Amino acid sequence: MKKILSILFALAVSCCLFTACNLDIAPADSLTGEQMTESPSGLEDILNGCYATMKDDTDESNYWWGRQYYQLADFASDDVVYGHETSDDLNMIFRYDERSPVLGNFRSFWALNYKLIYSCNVALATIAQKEELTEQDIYLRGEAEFFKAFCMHALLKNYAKQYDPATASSDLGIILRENSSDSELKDRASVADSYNAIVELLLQAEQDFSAGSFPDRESNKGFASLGAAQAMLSRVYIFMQDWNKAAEYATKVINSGKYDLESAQKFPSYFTETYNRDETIWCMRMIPTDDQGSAAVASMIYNGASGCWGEEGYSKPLLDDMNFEKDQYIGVDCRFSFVCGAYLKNGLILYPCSKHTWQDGIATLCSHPLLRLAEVYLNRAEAYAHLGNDAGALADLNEIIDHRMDYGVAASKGFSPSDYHLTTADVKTNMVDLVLTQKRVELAFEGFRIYDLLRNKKDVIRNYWGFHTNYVNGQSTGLVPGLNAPGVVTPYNYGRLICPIPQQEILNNPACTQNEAYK
Amino acid sequence: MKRLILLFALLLTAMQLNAQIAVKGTVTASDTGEPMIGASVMEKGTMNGTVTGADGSYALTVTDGNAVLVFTTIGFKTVEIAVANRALIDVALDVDQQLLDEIVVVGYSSKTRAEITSAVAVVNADKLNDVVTSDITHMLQGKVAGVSVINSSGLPGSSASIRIRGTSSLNAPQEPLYVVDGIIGGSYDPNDVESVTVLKDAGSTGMYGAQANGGVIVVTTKKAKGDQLQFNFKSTVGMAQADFSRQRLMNSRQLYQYYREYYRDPETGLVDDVAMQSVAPKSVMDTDTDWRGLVYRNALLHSHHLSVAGRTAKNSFYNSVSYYDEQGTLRYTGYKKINVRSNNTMYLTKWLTITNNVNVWADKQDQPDDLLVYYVLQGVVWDSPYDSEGNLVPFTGRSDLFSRYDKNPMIGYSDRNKDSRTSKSFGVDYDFVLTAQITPWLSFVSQTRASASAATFDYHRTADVEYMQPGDQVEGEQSLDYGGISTNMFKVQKDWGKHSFDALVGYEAQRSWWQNVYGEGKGLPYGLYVLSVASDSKDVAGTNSVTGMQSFISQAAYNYASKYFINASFRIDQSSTFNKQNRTAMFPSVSAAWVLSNEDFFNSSAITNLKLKASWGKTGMKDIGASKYLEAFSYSTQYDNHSAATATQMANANLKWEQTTQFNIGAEIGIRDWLSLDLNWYRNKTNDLLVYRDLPPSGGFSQQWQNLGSVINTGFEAAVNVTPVKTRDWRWDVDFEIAYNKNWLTGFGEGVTVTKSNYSGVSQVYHDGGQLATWYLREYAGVDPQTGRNLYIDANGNKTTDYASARYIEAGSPIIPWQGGLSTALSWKNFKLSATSNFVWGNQLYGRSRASDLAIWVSNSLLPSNEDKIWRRPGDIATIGSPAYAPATLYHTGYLVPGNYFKIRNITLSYSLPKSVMKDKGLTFSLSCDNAATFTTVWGGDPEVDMTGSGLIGTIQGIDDRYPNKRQYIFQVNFTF
Repeated sequence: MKKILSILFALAVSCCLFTACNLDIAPADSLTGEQMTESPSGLEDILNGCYATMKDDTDESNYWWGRQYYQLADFASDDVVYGHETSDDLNMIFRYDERSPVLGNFRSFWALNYKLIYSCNVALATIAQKEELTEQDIYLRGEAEFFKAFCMHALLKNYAKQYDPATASSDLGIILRENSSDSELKDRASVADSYNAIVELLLQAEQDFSAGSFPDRESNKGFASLGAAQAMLSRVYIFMQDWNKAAEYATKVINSGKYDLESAQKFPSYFTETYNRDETIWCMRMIPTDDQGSAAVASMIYNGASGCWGEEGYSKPLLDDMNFEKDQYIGVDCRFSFVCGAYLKNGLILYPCSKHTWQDGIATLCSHPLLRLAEVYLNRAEAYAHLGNDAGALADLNEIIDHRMDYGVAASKGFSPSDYHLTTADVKTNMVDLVLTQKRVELAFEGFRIYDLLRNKKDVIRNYWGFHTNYVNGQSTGLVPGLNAPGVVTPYNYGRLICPIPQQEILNNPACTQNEAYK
Repeated sequence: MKRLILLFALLLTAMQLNAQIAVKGTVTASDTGEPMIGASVMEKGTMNGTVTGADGSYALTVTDGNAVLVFTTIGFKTVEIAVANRALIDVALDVDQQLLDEIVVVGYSSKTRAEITSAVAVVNADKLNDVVTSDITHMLQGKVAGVSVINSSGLPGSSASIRIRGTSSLNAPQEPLYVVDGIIGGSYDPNDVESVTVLKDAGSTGMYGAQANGGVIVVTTKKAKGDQLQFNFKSTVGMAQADFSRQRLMNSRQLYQYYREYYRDPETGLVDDVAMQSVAPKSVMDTDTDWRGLVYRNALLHSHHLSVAGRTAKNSFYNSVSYYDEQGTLRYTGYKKINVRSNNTMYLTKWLTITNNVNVWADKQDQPDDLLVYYVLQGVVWDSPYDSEGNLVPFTGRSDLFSRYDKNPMIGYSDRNKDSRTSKSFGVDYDFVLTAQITPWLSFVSQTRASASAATFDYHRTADVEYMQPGDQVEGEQSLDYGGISTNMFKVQKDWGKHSFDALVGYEAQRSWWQNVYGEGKGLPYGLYVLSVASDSKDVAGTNSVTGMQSFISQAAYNYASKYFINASFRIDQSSTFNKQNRTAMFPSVSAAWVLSNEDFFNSSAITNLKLKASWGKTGMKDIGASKYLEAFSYSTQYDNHSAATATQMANANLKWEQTTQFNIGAEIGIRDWLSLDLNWYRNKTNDLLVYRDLPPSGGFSQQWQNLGSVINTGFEAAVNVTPVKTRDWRWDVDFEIAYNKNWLTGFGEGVTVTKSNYSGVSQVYHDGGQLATWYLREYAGVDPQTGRNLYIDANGNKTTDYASARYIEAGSPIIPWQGGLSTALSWKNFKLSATSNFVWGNQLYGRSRASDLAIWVSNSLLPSNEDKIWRRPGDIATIGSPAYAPATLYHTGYLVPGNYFKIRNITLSYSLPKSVMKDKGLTFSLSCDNAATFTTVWGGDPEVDMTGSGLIGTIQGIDDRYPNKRQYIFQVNFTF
């Protein structure tokens, strides 16, 4: 009997052990959209997630957002030497002819920006559901609007023709996503409509940043702010060739008193702590654990430190525009400190770039400045130049020069500040070109050059040796390549200077039109 | 219920009171009339039994005059004889021609060979254990028709991947379900395995429902065989070498010759040697570094296994301990494992049996740092890692090197502690099985397994190791896995007249928990490598997950006069993987067989077994990871140390099981004891494929889990075992398996194509009417003999040199259509020579391994194949174009190659000491070679490539991204006493 009882007990235990199976199991490290709405910090967390997405690894680590943001702008331009042929997709940024819709870097940048736009839309929807908005909510709405606009512009400047007032209403821009439930299959809006949507968002952001308040975030340059929205407006109006508005918004930022240009003494160390510096309006804040190592922005363009390939460098025309070899500027122009020592790679003399390096003692770490005051001055200078206000343009350019030249060293060489100031005598072609040259010098490797050329209808002339041409290791580099050599002159309207719409979009969204050169 | 058990328990007890009687007799072999030594004589339904002595005699006391005696011995047919109050029973046993009474373990139940109604294959220990490995998957290669075993890594301790009857999914895993000793999951050492049963169709896998789409592999561990205490000791020593198949690297001179092509003017055909020598003077050929040779070695392998088994009236046990130690062919890699098993069965009463099995294991794997290996294998033969004194020198900052990377990876190999990647794990499985025979026809079986395993992973790299990672690093991870599964069933077994019926019904529940913590950091002090000492960039992570499932199981089998068999099963599964409304699924199956050879009208002395069988049923696949149907904002990152949530998954509340409907017909034919043939034809349709489907990224998500379309797999399998020669001294056996599989997709919808691409845009497409994983590539048209440029076909069908305008075409698939195996064994007296091989034929692989990579060739010094020819001057018919025109990245149909191969997996020569010397002991010596030879159409890589993963499948890995397979030479001693 005892035995039987014990057996029955064993049976009962083994039956009951697993009988009440609860199969509703929630993941331990994520929440659903509904739960995000309920969470008191959900809105903030979604926005922080947007910033994080810009700096984080993707499944394919080379394709993270920041790397593409800079490479698409700089490697396509006449600023950079392509010093080692690679099977990395960056090859196709240099070699326009080989671009195609299946490439991972074009796909990834497109997808990441739309993911960010979706997240911003979720944040906006969360706010819209609230019955009563706090000042914090309004401020956060400003961030979401700004962020969405920023990503839309990142897409627009790469995947569409640059804004041309004559054709903007018929040229294809980007697919607009109105809200988080808008995922319908549709075509791209016109360039004009795309820009209008961006401006509308930025203007709302400007309002919300003014009306709302969130002191913890306002004091952190890692987050967007009123200044960021206004600086972004000045940038977007430049692209739209609305010179008056561009100047107006640049002035708002400059006169806000919140930002200052770094001095020539401090600027060389600027990139090691952008988040603490007065010149920064908004930076992509990275901390040591965010280090991208050999996939970092610096890795391809900086050498001599672990994690750095150092396969790309300053081009000869850029160095010439910097007066790199003129004694008057050596030791005076603090921007020379970013030009690293020349070294030979595949028979090419490379000058790597040390912007984007050495934050927290890590070679490949940097909190990349996405908006800084020097750009705003240059935006205003370009606007003034187009408006015929040469004196205003020169004043802004000289403001930058005053902060980049070490006049103490200059004095020891026998030069005075006026020897460095630009005047109408420095205008070789027109004032706009002078501004663009100064912008190229100031913002080299910071994600501007190709757009500055294309929106001003300037051909891309890469008359220096590198693997963008038919260069062969061992070939003489004494002469510059002829203008008719492959890859040297590319007309501004060459179709493959525009990135292809990724194949994944075309295949799964039949309504979407591919750019002409990839059809 | 309680009352019922009590009642029967009382009845059983009452039966014991009947009068006992003594029986004796002699057991002989019917063909020779000689006495049988060591035959087992048991009273049926009890543990009461004995064995025959040297003269074949036995004596046994049975419970009463109605008892039935069961006479068994290996190689002879089992005989049951009712005592019928007799005191003397002599028996002559017949030789078992077809081993039809062999017990086949099919999971929840066991059946005799004759009772099998579905496609099932058994591999016994003697056939399994030819190859020496720590993992049983490798042992199945080429041994079961329709089972493809892909061994894509030679890393010690790694598993091969198994596909049963083709590929039936795009994104869901398809590894078979493992069932150890009747319970799902579990661990075991290959030395402890008695047999492996592969369940191939729904007639048998239907019982495993939602876990069985990949087929089921039932592993049975050893038990005591006879009453005598038996010890077995097996010791193995061997040596392994890396097997690179047909992959050759250029030496210094060959590289120089190829390098010159870069300087050839394609118009004049002349080489600019001045330019060439300004970059690479002839003196570079003075250095000829075999980088691969620097890191691969002859590796040592040894393993030892000791087991003891025995049985008493109340108890049966099998205890073993195994130790396995294998060095990797790549320096600093290796695998060690220790495994202890204890199988114990207690026959508590006549009606109650309890089995306690425990398996405990611990292992350690030293893994390669793939990145470091990459840099070594990217080394250029003209560079030396050493200076003139033979010391390792840093490459950083040097401009006299040819390597793309100014890194000297050999520094990472200068010391064991420079770069170390180790994983360790420890696990326990405890099985508790209770069998209660409630009545002679009704029993209750409760089987429960509790499992726990813990694993650690440690990695560190010191700061002076040169490669493309900044500085030093330390990483550590610990994880814990635990869970249980319990199955409780009632089983019925009843024979009346010529009718035989058995059935089971039960409930099964399983649940498992997993959790981990991970840490990393930088800034290691000299000589210390643990997380605590890191001074910089410390970061942590950790999470946990739970999965659960509950199921109702049932099965019924009936046969009449061992001629007509029918078997049906029905299972309901509920899994936490899916949303509430899709959580439940039903899996029916039915199968039947007709044994013609048992019919009265069938009268053939040649054909001793002829059976026709057919089965139909459903299985499913749920194993795509937890909560894939939920919308997810993932908290796996931070921004400036603020918490941050990113949208990582789009909801799909409708996500449900991938289900396969399977149909199988087959025939078994046996011709006396020299041939048996098993033929099967099947058609499996998998519906609602779980697809991680591409979306237009502009909607915010690039992929979503969806159910989409179906795949149909159809094919046939033939397995033949022949014994052409069988004499007193000679025996020759041949086993041959061949299988054909074909698949096509349907139900995706018009115009719907699912595309999978790797980072470089190589694609495979899936759409209606197409095969799984069809290559979709730019169309290549060879090298233009006039200009040396690569030619492509553009959208209008014209040849063009513009790669970007080349059209895409569909060009075959890597899925294997034809495959099989051939094994043979020849024995003469006490010598035995055996060989195992397998082959694959008819698929297409993609590999940039034809040295067409001249454009980036410096770091890729693969030697072109004998069939390749480089274009040098106008008029050359070449396979490799002039590098002067080659873009850095090309992906086109020119890189597709047939994936055919034939591999000799094992050759063994063994010698057993004659019985006259050894008496009842056994001693066998053997010499063997694993992976003896490969014959293949693939040049530049091993044709045995990875077919798993949710991305592209069937790409031939280059020289740097796979751990090569190995060829090993083994000496083994096997001693039984």
